[in-house]
Amino acid sequence: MKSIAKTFAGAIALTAATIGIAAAAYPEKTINYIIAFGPGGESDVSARLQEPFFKKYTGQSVAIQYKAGAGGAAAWSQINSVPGDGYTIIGTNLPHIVLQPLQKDVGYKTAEIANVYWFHYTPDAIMVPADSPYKTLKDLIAAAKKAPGTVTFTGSGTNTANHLAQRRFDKLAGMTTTYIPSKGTGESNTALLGKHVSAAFSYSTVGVQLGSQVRCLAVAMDKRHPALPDCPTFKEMGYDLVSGAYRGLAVPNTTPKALQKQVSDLIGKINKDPAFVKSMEDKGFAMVDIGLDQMDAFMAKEQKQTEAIAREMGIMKK
Amino acid sequence: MSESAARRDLPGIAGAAFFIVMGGLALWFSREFTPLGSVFPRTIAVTMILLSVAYIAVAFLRPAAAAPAPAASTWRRVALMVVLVAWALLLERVGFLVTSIACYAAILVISNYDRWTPRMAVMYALSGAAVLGGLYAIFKFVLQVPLPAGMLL
Amino acid sequence: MPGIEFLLGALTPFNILLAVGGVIAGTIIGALPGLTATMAIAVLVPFTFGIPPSSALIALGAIYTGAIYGGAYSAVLLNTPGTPSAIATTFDGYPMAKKGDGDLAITLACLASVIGGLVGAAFLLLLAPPMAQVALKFGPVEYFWLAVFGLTLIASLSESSVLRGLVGACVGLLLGTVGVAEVGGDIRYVGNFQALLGGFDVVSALIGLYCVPVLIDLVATPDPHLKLTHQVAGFRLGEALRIAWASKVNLARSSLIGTVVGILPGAGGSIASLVAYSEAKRVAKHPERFGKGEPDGVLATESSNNATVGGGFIPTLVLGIPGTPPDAVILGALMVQGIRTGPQLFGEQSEIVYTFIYGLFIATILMLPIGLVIGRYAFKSIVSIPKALLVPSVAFLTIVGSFAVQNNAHDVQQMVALGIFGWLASRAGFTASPIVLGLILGTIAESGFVRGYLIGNARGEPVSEFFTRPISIGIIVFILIGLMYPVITARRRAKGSTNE
Repeated sequence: MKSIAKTFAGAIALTAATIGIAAAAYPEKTINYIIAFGPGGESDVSARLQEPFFKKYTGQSVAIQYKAGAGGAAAWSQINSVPGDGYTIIGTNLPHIVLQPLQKDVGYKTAEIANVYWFHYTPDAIMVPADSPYKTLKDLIAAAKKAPGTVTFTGSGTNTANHLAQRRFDKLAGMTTTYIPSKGTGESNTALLGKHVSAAFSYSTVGVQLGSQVRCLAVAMDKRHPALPDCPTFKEMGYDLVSGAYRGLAVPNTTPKALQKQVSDLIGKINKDPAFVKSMEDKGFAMVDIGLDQMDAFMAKEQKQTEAIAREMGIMKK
Repeated sequence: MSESAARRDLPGIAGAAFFIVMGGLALWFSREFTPLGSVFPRTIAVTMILLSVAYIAVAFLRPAAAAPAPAASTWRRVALMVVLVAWALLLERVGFLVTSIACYAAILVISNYDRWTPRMAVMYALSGAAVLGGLYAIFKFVLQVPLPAGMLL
Repeated sequence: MPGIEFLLGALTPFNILLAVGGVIAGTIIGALPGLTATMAIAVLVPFTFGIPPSSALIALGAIYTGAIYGGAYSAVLLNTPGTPSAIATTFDGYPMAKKGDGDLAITLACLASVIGGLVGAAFLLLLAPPMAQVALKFGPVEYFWLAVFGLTLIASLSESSVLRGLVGACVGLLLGTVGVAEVGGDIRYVGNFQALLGGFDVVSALIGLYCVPVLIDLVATPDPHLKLTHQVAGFRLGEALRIAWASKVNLARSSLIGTVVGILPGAGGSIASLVAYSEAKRVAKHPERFGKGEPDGVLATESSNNATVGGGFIPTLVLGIPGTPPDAVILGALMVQGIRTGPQLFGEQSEIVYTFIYGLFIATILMLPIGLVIGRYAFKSIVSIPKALLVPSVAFLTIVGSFAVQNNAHDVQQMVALGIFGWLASRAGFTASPIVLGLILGTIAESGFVRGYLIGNARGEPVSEFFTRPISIGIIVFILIGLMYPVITARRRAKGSTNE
C-alpha cells in the first residue's frame, strides 16, 4: 500500500541521513585500538606514539587493547565480527596477514581484512656484534661462500619476515647460510649479542635500540635511514633488496566505504605530522603512506611477491 | 572392596594407563611432523610411556595404600564441573555479565550446605551480587579488560 | 655506593607516593589468580607516560615487586599460584594454611619477599654491567641444560612417588608441544580446534590445574576451607622474624639464586623459586618436612622470586633485552618515553637509572608494612567468608582471569578443560605442579635443544656443541649431583640404620 511504501522510503531517507550525519561527525567518542600482539612490542610502541596525535586531530582518545595469540591470527580472525562503526580499528602487519593464510588455516583470509592504511615499515637489516670480524657486508658474504652453512643468522620466528629476508638474500648473494629461529626480538638480540650466532637478520629499529653494541652491515631501503647514517643500503652494495615488516590499520570489513575513507584520511594526517614523523624515525621506523586509494594495487603486489617466495620456500598450505 | 584390591593403587594405575594411551596417540599423530619438529614430542611420548609402564609395574609389585577416597558428594562435584563448562562455552555468545550472574548463582547453590531460609537467600543474593559486582567492575573498568557483550550483555 | 647522590631524588614525596601506590596495586593484582605481574604493568603503563622516566620506572618497579609478592596469597590460601612465580610457594604454603598456619605463611612470605627484593636490587645497583655479560654467555645449549636441570628437580620433589612426578612432567612437556612449533613451523596436535592454535597458555593452565581441583573438592564437603586454630590477633610477626633469622642462610642463598636466574632472559621466577626450593630442601636438616608445611620452604621460594625482579632489570637496562615478561612491557614503555637502554644508560643518563634503583629499594622496604596489612585482610577474608560465597567468587576469578590473559575466550575453555583433567589426574595421584612446571620448562627445553642443534650443526659438530661449553658442563655437573644425591643419602641412611 502507498502509505507503507511512503513509510519505508521515509525510513530509508532518515537512515541515510543519520549515517551521513554520523559519518560527518566521526569520531565522537573513544576509539578502540586493538593490537594483535602482547604489550611492549613494536606494534604497541607505535600505537602509543600515535595516541597523542589521535587526540590532537580529533579531540578523542584512543583505548589500546591487546589481543595476542597465534602470532596475531587470534585478533585478525575476529576483527570482522565487531560492528563496523569506525570505533574499532586494529593494527595489521605485513607479511603476516598475507603469509599466514597461505601457510595454514588461521581463521581468516587476506582478502577479508579491510586495510585502510599502511603507515610505516621497519626495514630488514643485517647486524653483527660491534666487535665482530665482519666489518662489511662483503666480509660476511665471503665467509659464507668459503664455508657454506657455517655462517648463522638468527631472526624472529620461522617463516616470518626475517626468515624470508634471509632466504631471499641468500639467493641474491649466491650463498648458503643457516637460519636459527629465535622466539621474538628479545631472544634474537641475546643470541646476537652473546655471539651464539654470526649475525642477525633483524630490523632497523633493533639496530637503533642496540646502538653501539652492534654494527649494521646493510639495511633494506632505497636510501639510508636517517637514524643509521653509517649503514649502507643493500642497493648500494649491488643487491636489489627493499623489504621489511609493514604496519598498518584495518577496520571491520562491514564498515561503509565513506567511513573507511575518513579513518584512512585521519591516519594519513597523523602520519604527516612532523613531530610524529620525528618520533618514529628516531627509533628506526621508515615512514610510508599507502592510503585507501592505493590499497588494492599495493595489496595485489604484496600478495604476488609473498606468494612467490612462499612457494619457493615450500611453505604453502597443501 | 576386597582386601587385595584395596591395597592396590587402582586410581594410579588407571591414570598411568591413560597416559600410556596419550603417549601412543602423541606418537601416532607425530607422523606428519617435520624431522626437527618431531624429535621432542616423540622423545617425550616414549619416555612417558616407559615411565607409566614402570609405574604400573611398581604399583602391582609393591601394593601401596591407595589414597583414602575423599568424602563424596558426587552430584555437587559433577554439577560444578558442568557449570564451569557451560560458563566457558557460553560467555562469549550469551554475554559475560549475564552468563556470570547465572553461573555464579548456580555455584552458590551448589556450594551451600545449610538449610535454605528466606533470610539466608536474601543475604546470599545481596552479598553475592556485591562481590560479583565489585570483581566485575575491577576487571571491566579498572583493568580495562574487554569483556564480551554477546547477545545479551 | 654508586650514584648515592640520586638517593634524595628517589625520596621525593611524589616518588614515595608512586612507590606506595604501586606496591598496593601490584600486590592486589598479583594476588588474583590469572592476573600476572605482566598484566598489572601493561594496564598501568599508560598512566606513567605523563611523568618523568625515573618516576615511571619507580612506579612500574613497585607494581612488579608487589605483584610477585601478591602471588603468594592465593598460593597459600587457595593452592593456586597468583603468578607463575608463586608455583613453588604452594608446596609448603598451602599445607601450612591447611594446618591453621596460613597467617604465619603469609607473614613469612612478606618478610622473604622484602629480603629477596632487596638482594636483587643490590645486585642491580652494584654489579649490573658485569652480570649482564654473564647473562649473554647463556646460549640455547645452556638453556636446554637448565631446563633439564629443572625437570630433574621436579622429579626429586615428588615425595610419594618419583615416577608419578616424572610422568606428570612428561604430560606437561607434551602439552607444551601443542600449537605451532617454534622451529620448523609444524602445527602440532591442534586438529580442528582453533582454540589450540596458540598452544596451551601457561597462565590458563596454572589456574585450571591448580585452582579448579581445589574448587571441585571444596564443594564436596561442608567443612570450612581453612580452619583457624587460634585467634587472628597479630601478624605473628615476632614468630616469623624468629623463624626468618634462624633461616638466614636459606634466605641469602635463595635470594642469590633468584637474582642469578632473574638475569637469564626468559627464565623467570617460576624456575628461580623451583631451584631455590630444591636447594633448601637438599641441605635441610629435616628434608622430609618439606612439602608438608615447612616454613623454610616458603622462605626459599618467596625470597628467590622477588629477587628476580632486581635481577631481571639487569639485562633489561644494560642490554635492552628483557629479563622477564614484565620487563618486556617496561622496555616498551621506556621506548615510548624515548629512553634508550644500553650501557650509556649507566653512563651519561645515570640519573634516571640510579634514581630508579633507589626508588626500587624504597618500594621494597615499604612492601613490608603494606604487605603485612594487606596480607592480614586477605587472610581474614578468605578464612571467614562462607563457602557458598567463596567458591563462586573464586570460580569467577578463574573465568575472568584466564580470559584476561589474552582477551580471548579460548583461554577460558582451555582453563576449564585442563581443570577437569587436573582434578581427574589428582584423583589418580598425579598432582598439578609437575605438569605445570613441565609445561613451562618444555618450551625452554625444546627451543634450547633445537636451536643448539642447528647452531652446532652449522659448525659440523652438533653433538659436541652440547657438551663442550663451560657453563653447560657446570650445569650438567649440577644435574648429576642432583640425581646422585638422594641415592647417596639413602645409602648413607641405610648404612646408619644397619650399624645400630
